[in-house]
Amino acid sequence: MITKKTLSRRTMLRGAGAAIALPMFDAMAPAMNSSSIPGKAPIRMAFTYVPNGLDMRHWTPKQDGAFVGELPKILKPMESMRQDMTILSNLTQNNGRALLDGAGDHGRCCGAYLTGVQPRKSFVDIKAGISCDQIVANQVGGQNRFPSLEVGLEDARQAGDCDSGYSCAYTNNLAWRSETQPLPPVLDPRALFERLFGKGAALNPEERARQTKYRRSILDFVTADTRKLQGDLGPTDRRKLDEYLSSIREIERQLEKAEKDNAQVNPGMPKPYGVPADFAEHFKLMTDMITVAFQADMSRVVTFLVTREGTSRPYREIGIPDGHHPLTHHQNKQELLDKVTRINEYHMVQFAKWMEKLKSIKEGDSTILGNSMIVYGAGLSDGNRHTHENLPVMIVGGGGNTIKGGRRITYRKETPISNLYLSMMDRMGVRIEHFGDATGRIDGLNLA
Amino acid sequence: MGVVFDSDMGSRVETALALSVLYGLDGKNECRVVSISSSRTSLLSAAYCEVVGRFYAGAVSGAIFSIGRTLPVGLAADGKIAGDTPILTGPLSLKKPDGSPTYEHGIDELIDTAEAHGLIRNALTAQHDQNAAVVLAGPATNLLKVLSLPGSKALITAKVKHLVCSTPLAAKELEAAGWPSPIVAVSPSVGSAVLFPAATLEKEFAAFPAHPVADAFRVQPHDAPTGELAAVLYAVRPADKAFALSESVGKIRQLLLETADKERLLAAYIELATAKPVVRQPRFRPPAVDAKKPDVPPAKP
Amino acid sequence: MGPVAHKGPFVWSDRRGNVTSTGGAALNTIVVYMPIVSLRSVAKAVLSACAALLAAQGPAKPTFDHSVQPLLTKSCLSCHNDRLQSGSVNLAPFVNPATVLANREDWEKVVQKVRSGEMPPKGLPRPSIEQIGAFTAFIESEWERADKNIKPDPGRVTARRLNRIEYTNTIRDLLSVDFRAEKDFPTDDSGYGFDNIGDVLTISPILMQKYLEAAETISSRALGADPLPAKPVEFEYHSKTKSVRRLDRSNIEATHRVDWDGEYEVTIGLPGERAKDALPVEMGFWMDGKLIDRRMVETKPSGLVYFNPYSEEHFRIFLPEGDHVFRAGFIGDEFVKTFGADKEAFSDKRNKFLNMIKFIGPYPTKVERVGRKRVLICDPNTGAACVTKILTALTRRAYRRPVTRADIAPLEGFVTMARKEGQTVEQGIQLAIQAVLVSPHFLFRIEKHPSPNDPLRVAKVSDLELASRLSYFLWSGMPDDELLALAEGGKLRSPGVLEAQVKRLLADNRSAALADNFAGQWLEIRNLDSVKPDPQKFPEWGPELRDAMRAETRLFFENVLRENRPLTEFINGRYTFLNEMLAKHYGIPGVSGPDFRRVELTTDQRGGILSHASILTVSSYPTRTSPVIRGKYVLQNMLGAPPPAPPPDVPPLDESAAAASVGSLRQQMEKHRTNAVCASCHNRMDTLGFGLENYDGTGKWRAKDGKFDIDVSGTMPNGKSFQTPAEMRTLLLDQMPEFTRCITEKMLTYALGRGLERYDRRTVEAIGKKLAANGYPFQLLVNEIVQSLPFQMRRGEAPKQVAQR
Repeated sequence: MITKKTLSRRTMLRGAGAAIALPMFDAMAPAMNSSSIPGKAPIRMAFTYVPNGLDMRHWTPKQDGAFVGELPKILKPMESMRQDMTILSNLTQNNGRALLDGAGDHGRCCGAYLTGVQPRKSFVDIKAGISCDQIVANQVGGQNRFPSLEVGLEDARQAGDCDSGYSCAYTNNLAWRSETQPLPPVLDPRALFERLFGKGAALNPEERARQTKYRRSILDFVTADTRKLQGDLGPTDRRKLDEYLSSIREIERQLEKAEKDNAQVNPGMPKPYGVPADFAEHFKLMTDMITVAFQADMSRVVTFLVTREGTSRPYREIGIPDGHHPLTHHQNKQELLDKVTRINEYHMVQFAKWMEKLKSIKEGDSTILGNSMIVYGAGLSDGNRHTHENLPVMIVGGGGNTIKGGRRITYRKETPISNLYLSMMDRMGVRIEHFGDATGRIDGLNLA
Repeated sequence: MGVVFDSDMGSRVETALALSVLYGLDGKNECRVVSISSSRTSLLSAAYCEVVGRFYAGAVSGAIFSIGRTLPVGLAADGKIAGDTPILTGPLSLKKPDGSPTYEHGIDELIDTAEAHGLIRNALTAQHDQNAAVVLAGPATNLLKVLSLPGSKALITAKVKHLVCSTPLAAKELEAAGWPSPIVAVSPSVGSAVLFPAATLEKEFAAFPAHPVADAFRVQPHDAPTGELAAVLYAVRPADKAFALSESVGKIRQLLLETADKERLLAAYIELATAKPVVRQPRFRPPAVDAKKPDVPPAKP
Repeated sequence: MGPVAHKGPFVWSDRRGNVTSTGGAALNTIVVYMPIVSLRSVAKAVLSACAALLAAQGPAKPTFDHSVQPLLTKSCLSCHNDRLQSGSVNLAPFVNPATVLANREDWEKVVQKVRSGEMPPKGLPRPSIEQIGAFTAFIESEWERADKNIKPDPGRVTARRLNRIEYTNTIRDLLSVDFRAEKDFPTDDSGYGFDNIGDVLTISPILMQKYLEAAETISSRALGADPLPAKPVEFEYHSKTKSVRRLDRSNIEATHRVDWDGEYEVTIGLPGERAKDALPVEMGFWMDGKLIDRRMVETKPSGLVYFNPYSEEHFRIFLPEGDHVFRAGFIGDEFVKTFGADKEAFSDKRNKFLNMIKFIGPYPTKVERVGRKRVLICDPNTGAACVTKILTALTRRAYRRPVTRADIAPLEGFVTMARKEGQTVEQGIQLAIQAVLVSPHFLFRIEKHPSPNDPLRVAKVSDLELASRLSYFLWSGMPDDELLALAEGGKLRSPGVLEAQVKRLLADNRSAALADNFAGQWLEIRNLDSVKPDPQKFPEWGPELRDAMRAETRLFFENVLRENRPLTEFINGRYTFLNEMLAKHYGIPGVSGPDFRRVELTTDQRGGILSHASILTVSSYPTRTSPVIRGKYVLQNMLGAPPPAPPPDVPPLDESAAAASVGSLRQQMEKHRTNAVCASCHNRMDTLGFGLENYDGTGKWRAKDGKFDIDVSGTMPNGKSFQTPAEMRTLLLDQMPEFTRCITEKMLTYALGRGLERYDRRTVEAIGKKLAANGYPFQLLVNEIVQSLPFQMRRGEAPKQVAQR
C-alpha cells in the first residue's frame, strides 16, 4: 500500500531517471495538495450496491439522531466507524415501482437506482437515464486519469431472461453513461489492475511513449475509416458506429491524460491473477485497488455493484447453500430470514474492512474516508415484498467536513433518493438544478 | 379513474364532507383515491385526513396499497403554522370509554407525512394516461409546487383529464402558472345553491357508532355549502346531468348547476357521504406482514 | 421469454393453425391468459371453447356481427362509449368491420386486454370463454388474411459487432492465435436469448480499450516478435496458500495467466498414500475444461520412509498465452467416496489427493507458429512489393472481402512509421495488423444497401455478405478460403452451390459452434457455469459431472445435426451420449471409462433432452427442484409459448416459502395456488414442471422427494393426462408443430442476429410446414433458414424510426 511519502519518493526517482518533466509534478499535485494544503483534498464519491433488499429489522437504528447503545445487527461490523456513518431513513425510489409496467421490481429498482428515471421495460431496446456518478464523471472527472471506475464481484448472467421482461443490462450495471449505454463493471482483479496501472507497467518511458504514439495514429486511422463508412449506411447502423466513435474519443482522452503524466503509480501490491475463489478475498482485492485509485487521485467516482440485483448466488462461505434471491422471498419464515440477515452481515463485514482501510490512510489533517462520501445501500428495502420506499441507505465518510456522522436522519416519507444524489453532487462541485425525480436537496447532512 | 385530492383540510367542514363523498365514490368503484394532501400547515390537518382514510379502511390505499405500501398523507410544511380548528381538534380529541383515542392515526411529527408536491407527482406517475383527475378544495399552494417540479407539466398533460378547483381564484392562479390540463372552477353560486343538511347527523350519520366526518360536522352543526362536494362529484362523474359548463374563459370553464337536478344532486351527496366503508382487498400483493410489528421500528424513543 | 411471445397475434394465429387438429394448443393460450379459472373450469373451457372454435370454422362462417359485435357492445361499450369514454377510450367507432384492419394497432390493444382478462375489469360481468375465443379468433383470422396480401418484408439487421466467441474464432482462423476473448472482454449483452443480436451488441470505452490491447498482444503473438524472457518464471498454486480451489475431494483448480505462448513444466503435488493394495488412478489435467494431459498415478505406499507421504507428477506441455483455468484431478476416482468426513479424505495417512499446481516456464517451443507463416507469405525485407502483398492478402481475409488500394495505403503508412521509429519491417507489419484488428471493417459485420434510408427498397445481400452470414451462423467464425473465393467469384448463388456449402460447413468440426452457441443459449446450457448445486444435498456434483452433463447435450445436439436426425428426437430420442460418471449418475449400467459413447436407452426413465441432467440442473435452485422454473423452461424453450409476465401487482408464486414449510412441495404449492390469477398461468407451467419431478436438482432419478412420494401425474391443456415423465414426453409429441415453430424461431433469430417481427411469421410457418411434410430432418431446417427471405435479402430503414427511439 503506498503512502504519500513513498509515492512522492518513487516519483522523484523516476523523474530523475526520465528527465524531470513538469507534467510529472502535475500528476503528483493532487496527492501533494491533499497532504500539504489542508482542506484542498479531493472529495471522492462511491456507491456500493447490494442486491435483493436488506433485512430492515436489523438495519434501522431504534431512534433518530445520535446513535445510542448497540448498533443494529447488520451495522455492527461498522462499530469502529460509528462516528463516520449516517443512516438515512425514508428515502424512496419511486421509479423502481411498477408504475403500470407490471412485474420486474428487481430489474427496475437497479436500473432506476442511480438514474432516477423509470427504466424502459425491454429486452433489447434498453433505456434508462444517465446516472448521477456519470454526471459527476463528465463534469469534474476530466482532471483524473479515470473519470469513473465501475467495479463488481459477480460475473454477468450468460443466457436467459433476467427479470420478467427487463434486459440483464438493468441488473448487471449501476452506471449509465447515456440513457442507452450502461457501463459494465470490471469483475476480474487483474483486469482492474491493468486498467489502473497499465498493461505495460513494465514498459520504460520511451516504450510507453511509442506505444501511446502508435495507439493514437491507429485511432486516427480507424476514425477516418469509420467516417468514410458511415456515409452509405442506414440510421441505426450509423448510430452503432457513432457509439464506436465516441468510445474511441474516450480512449484518446485517456491517452492524452496518460501522456501528460509519466508518473507511474505504484500499486503497492502484486498483480493479481484471475478471480479468487473466496468472496471476501475478491472483495478485498477490488476495494484495495479502489483505495489506491482514491489515494493517488486517479479517480474520484466509483460505482461498486457487489453482486447482481436479483442474484441467486449461494453463500457457502458462511454455510448458506440456498440462493440469495429465493431466500429473500422468506414470507417471514424465521429460518429463512436469519439466513438473509447473515448474508447482509457478511457483506457488511467486507465493506467495513474497506472503510477501515480508507480511514487508516491519513490525508492532510484528515483521512481519505474523511474526504469521501461512500454510499452503501440497496434498490429494495424489503426483498420479500419488493418495497421501494424507506430504502436502506448509509453514507460513510465526512465528505471533507461537510457531513456529520454518528446519527440516523429520518426524512419525510416518499423523499426521493435523487435528492440525496443532488446534495452529493453539490459536494463534488457539480451544481445542477434537476436530477431524475428529485424534488430538491436533502438537508441536515452537515448539521449537528 | 384515479383522483388526487388536495385541500386545506380543517378550514371548513365542507372539505371533510367532500372527502367522504370522494371515498363514497371510491367504494362504488367509480374511482380510486390515489393521493391525499393538505396545504394547511398543521399536523392535525394531516392527521385528520389519515383518520378519515383509515375509517374508510384502506380505501386510501387505492391502487397504491396494492403494490405493498400505504400511501402517506402529503402536507405542505413550509407555510406558516396554521392554528388548529375545532373541526380538527373535535374528532381527534374524542376518547373511547377506556380512554384511548376514538380515532387512531400515525401522524405525530412532520416525518410521518410526505412532501405534498412530490407525493402528488408520484401518485400521477402511476396512473394511466388521461385517467386521473385532480380535485383542489382550498388554496393552490401544493399544486403550484407540483408545477415547479421538472417534467411535471408533461406528466400532467399526459395523465390528468381535468383539474377541478372549488374556487375560481385558485383556478386562475394555476392557469397563470401554466397548469396544462383543462381546468374547471366551481362557480361560487353552486355551493350555496345546495346545502348539506345538518339533519343527516340524526338520520344517515346516526347509523354509525363513530364517523370522523360526522364528528367534525357535529362541532357546529349547520346546513353546509357544497361547492367542494360538487368539485369532487364532477371530477368523477363529469357526465352527470346536474352539471353544466360555461364557455371557457382562457383555459377555465365555470361549473354551473342545472337547477332542475338540485334534489337528485343533494340525494347523491347524502348517499355518498354517508355510505358505509367498503374494504378494498389489496390486489394480490400480501399486505405488510404483521401490522402490529412494522418492519422498521417507529422513529421515536 | 422472447418479445416474439409478446406479439399476441403472432403466437395466437399460429395456434389457430392447428385448432382443427387438436384444439388443445389454441385453448391453452386462451386458458393461460384467462385469469380466474380453476382446473376443472379449465377442462370445461377446453371442451366448450373447442366446440366454439370448431363451430367458428364450420359451415356458419364467422362474421363480425356474429363473433365480435355482440361482445363489443355488451362488454365494452357500456363504459367506452361516446359519453363516458372511460380511460378516454371510446370503442363506439369500432363497431364496424372495416376498423379491424384499418385500426389494427388499436384492435391489438383491445384483443390483448380482452384475452388477458384485464378487460372487462373485475367486478363487471365477463364474457364466456367461448365468446372470447370466437372474438379473438375472428379478428386475428382477418389479420392473417390481410397479412397474406402484404408485400414480403425481409426486415433489416443492424450492423453486428463480433461478439466474444466470434472474435475468438475469427482470430483463430485469421492468425491461428489462441486468444480467449471470453476471458478478456466484458460480457456481451444478450437479447431474445442470444448474445449475437446486432441491436444489443454495444461498444463501451472499456471494450475499446480491450480491443486496442488485444490487437497489440495478438499481432505480436502472431508474428512472435517479442522474445521469451531469458529465465523461466515459476508460479505455484497451493492449497496451503488458498491459491488453488478445492472443487471436490479429487479435483483442484487454479486460474493462471500464461504470459507467453510456449512450453511449460507443469508439476502436480500429490500428498498422502492409500492402502497397500490400492490401485493406480488416472489423473487428468484440464485447461478451460479441455482435457490436455492424462496419466496413471500410483496411490499405494511408495515404500520410502516419509513423515508426510508425498509425490509429484511432472510433464511438459505447450500452453497458449492468456488467462486459463487449469484443473488437475483424478478421473472417476471411486475410492474417495468411501470416506465419510472430508477430514479423513484429506489425511495423508488414509488417502492420496492433490494440493498443488506449479508452472515453470516458458521454454522455447517446438510448436511452429502457424500464424507467422500464414501472414509472411513472402520475405518482407525484400521490399515494398512484398509488404503490399502481405497486407493485401491478410486484409482481404480480415475484412472478409476483396480490398482496394484505399484500404491498403494507410496500412503501408504504419510500416513506414515503425521504420521511422527505428523498428524492423516485421514490427511495422505487426503494427499494421494492430490497426486492422481495431478497424470497423474487422470488428463489425456491416452490410451495404443500395438505398439504406428507403424502408421499401428490398435488395439481395451481396454474395460476400451472404458468405459471412453463413459462416458466422454455422461456425461463429469467418468464411474460409473456399467460401470467400466462391463469394468473390459471384458463384455462391449458382444452383446447388449454397446447399453444398451448408453441407460442407456442417460437416466441418467448426460447426460445433452451433452446439456451443446456439444450443448452449437456446437450452440455457451455458448457465451450467453459474449454477451452484449444494454439495451437501448433491454430493456427486462437481466439475467432472458438470462437464459430463454439458458434453451429453452437446454430443446429442451435434448428432441430430450432423446425422440429420428428425427434430422429434429432441423430445423423446431413445438414445443419448454418456461416460461412466454420467451413466452412474443416471443409474445406467455397462458404461465404463471417461470417454463418451452413444448409449441406447432401454428403460423409459429417460429419453429426449428433457431428461438430460444439464437441462434439469439449470432449471433448478441450488438446493432443490423448481417445478415453476422447469415448467416455464418447457413452455419457453420447447413450445415457444412462454407464460406472460404476471399482470401488475402479482407477486411471484413463492416456492421457497412452500419448500420451507411442511408437506410435499406439490401440496404446498397447490395450497399456495389459491389466487385464481396466479393459478391461470401456474396450472399450465406447474403441470409440466411436476411432470419432471422424478428428476432431482441435478437430474438424478428419484421416486421420493425427501419423505414424500412424488406425484408427477398431470393433465395437458388439451385434456390428455399422463402418469410418468415418459408419458408426458409422448404427449409432447402431439405438439411437434409448436416445438418446430419454437426451434425455427430461435434458430432464425440466431441466424439473423435480430428479433423476429410479425412479417417473419410467414417464413417461420413455411419452414414449419416443409419440415412437417418431410419428417423434420434437422439439416432441412438449417437449409430452409439459409434459403429464407430474411437470410437472403435486406431492406432499408426510414430515418424517423430511429428518431422515436
